[in-house]
Amino acid sequence: MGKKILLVDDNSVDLLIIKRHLSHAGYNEIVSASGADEGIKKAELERPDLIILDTLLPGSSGFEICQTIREKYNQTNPKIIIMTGSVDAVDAVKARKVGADDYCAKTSDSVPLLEAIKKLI
Amino acid sequence: MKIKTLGIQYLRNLGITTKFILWFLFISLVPLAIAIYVSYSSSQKVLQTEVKNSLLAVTDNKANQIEAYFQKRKRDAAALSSMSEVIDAIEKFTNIYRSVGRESLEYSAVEKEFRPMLTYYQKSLGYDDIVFISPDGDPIFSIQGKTELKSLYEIALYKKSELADVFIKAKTSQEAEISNFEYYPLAQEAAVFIAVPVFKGTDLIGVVVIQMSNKGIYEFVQEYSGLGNTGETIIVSKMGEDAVFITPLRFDSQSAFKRRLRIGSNSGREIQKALQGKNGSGISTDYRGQRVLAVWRYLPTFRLGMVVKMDTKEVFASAEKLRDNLLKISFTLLIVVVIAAFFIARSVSSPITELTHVSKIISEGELSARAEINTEDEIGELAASFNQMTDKLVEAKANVEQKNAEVEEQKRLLEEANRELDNFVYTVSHDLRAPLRGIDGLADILEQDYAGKFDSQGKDYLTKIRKGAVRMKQLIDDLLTLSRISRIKNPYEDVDMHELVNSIISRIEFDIKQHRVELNIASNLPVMCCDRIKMQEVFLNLISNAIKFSSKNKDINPRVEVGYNDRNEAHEFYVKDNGIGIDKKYHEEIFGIFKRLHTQEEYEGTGAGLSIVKRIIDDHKGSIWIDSEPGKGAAFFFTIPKALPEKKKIGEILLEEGSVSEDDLKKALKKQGIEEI
Repeated sequence: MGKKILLVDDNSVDLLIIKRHLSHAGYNEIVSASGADEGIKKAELERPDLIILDTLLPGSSGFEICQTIREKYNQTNPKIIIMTGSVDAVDAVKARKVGADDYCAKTSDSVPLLEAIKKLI
Repeated sequence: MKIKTLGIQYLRNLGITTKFILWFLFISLVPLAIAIYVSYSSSQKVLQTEVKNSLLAVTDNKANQIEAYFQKRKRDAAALSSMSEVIDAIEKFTNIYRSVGRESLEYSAVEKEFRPMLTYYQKSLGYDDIVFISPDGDPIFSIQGKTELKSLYEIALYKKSELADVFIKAKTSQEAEISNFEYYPLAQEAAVFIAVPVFKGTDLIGVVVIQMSNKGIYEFVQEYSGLGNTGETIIVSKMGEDAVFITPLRFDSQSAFKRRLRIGSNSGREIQKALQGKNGSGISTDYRGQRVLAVWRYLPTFRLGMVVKMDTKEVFASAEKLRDNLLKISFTLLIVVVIAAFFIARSVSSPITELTHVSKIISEGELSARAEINTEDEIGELAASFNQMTDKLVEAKANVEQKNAEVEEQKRLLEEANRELDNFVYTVSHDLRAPLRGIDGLADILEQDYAGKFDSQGKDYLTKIRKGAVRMKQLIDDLLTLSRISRIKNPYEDVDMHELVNSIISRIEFDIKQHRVELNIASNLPVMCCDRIKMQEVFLNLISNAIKFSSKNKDINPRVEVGYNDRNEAHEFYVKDNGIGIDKKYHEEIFGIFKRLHTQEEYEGTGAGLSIVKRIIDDHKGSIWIDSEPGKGAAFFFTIPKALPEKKKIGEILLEEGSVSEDDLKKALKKQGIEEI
């Protein structure tokens, strides 16, 4: 393991729960950010293997951050997963477009997220 | 009967002008015709009487003239016979004839003595001949007899002839007698004889026979005064079985003794009547085929028939002229009547035509048109109230338009409110999901990580928190589904309903097997134009419901039936179960959102399913209803019209949703080689 994961979500409870599920699943190196700017900064600073982005963030969205990061590094690393609490599937297309590696629903048990992570790292 | 009704129908269908003209004609024609008929026939009668009277007068006059003419001749003959020279001559001729015959010198001497004297009388009295006949019947002298007529008398005396007859009559009656006319074809002449017995003392010594031609009476016949232009006199004598015309006719100068008609035949009845001794008058047809007014009469002295007649054409000429004048006046009057009727009718019908025209314009939607009739009569009133009616119509139309606009506006507001509500539900649902996720996630973590720190009651509470969270998540998800149904429109496409239903069955195969449901799907499911994704939702919900409610009835095996009826205008589907059924009073409300008739413990689910189904059916312009009674199972019926109002293309839908810009769509389509959306 030993992979570093950056989690960007403004919802502290969600952050709490996801962190718990990730650590249970064996991902111990977890950095989190609660806003877009902080997320972009940390992505540069921490050099994570994987970034998990919530779609709805104050003043921005996961899609925009994803696009910014992709433009900055212009490479396949880090892996990016866009995660949404919405139920509409339209976003999946958008996620691909902005260069995300995967897209998943945000659930209370984080099962879809864990499955997506397993595929990428 | 039918023809009569048709005729009346035809009259009813005529235009006003034609009707007016026909009525005017009828009203003026009838009295005119009566007047003409009455005046013509009465003047005809008067004329007939008048002319008949004048013809009678002419007849009397002519009869008297002819009578007088013959009487005079008779008297002349009698006078001649009583002259001593004549008596002397007869005596001498008789004696010579008896002693030596006619072919002798003595006879010639006697003849020489008397002939000049007799010839003188013959000429001066206008006779054709003077003949002496002996009492024995021998012709003993004749002025003409010297030449060709000699033998004639000989023959005539010995056979039946008028001469012989009159001789015998005179001898018997010892008086002057007059014969009937006799015609001699050879000489082409007719003759009448007057026989006068000659006596010496009391002894009959001979008979003087005077021969006269028929020409003596021509002058009476040819006298036409009082007979107009066509009047004439016909005199006929009976010869054998024939009635013979003995005088020339006005229109046939050769008729004397040439023209004849058989007594008893159909022609010349008036002539026959006159000969039969009858007098009378009347209208009949003459020898020329002309209608004539005739007066007939018998002249007994000479056994002649006389007919005086005049063409009715002339008789009634003045009546006919009167009639013709009346007809001319009538004709002129009729033209005037027709023209008057036409103008009167036009004055009535033209405002009506104008009204009809205006109402046609109005019916075509031009409501500003008005009838321009300013008369004060009934039609003017009609036009005025027609205009008033149109005003009201305009008013009413404006009202309706305003109301329509109001309704449209309300509809728009309602739709907007609905959309806002849907958006609100969408947003709220999403907003609700986040804290719920927190509750459930944390409760889950508590259960897992702190299990040892809770006693059994704590664990129970935790379970209840999780159950509540799950239930709430279900509710929110259903709410989202419902709002998504309204927000998202998929294109209509032809869907094989068999395939669709089977795909649903495979999705819920687990449930079917678990509840051992006997599933029966009709084989006649059609291909239907609809929103495939939403239609799946419909069948999923209905079949799941059916399984849910039929499987709880422990006494019987659950049975679910999917069926189809073709209803001409629409497809009708039904999903039937043999479950617990639904009371009639709930049939309406079960389609409302989150309507549950059972507790959470009895049946799982939120109750949003049927309202989702109803919304989809409504979207398809169809209808849904339930047929069920408690304990007897339930059947959900729904219809989808065969002709769906619109088949939206996916491009249009994406544009409407705003999920794609017009430029992007055009680019995408161009790539696929499609120019227009």
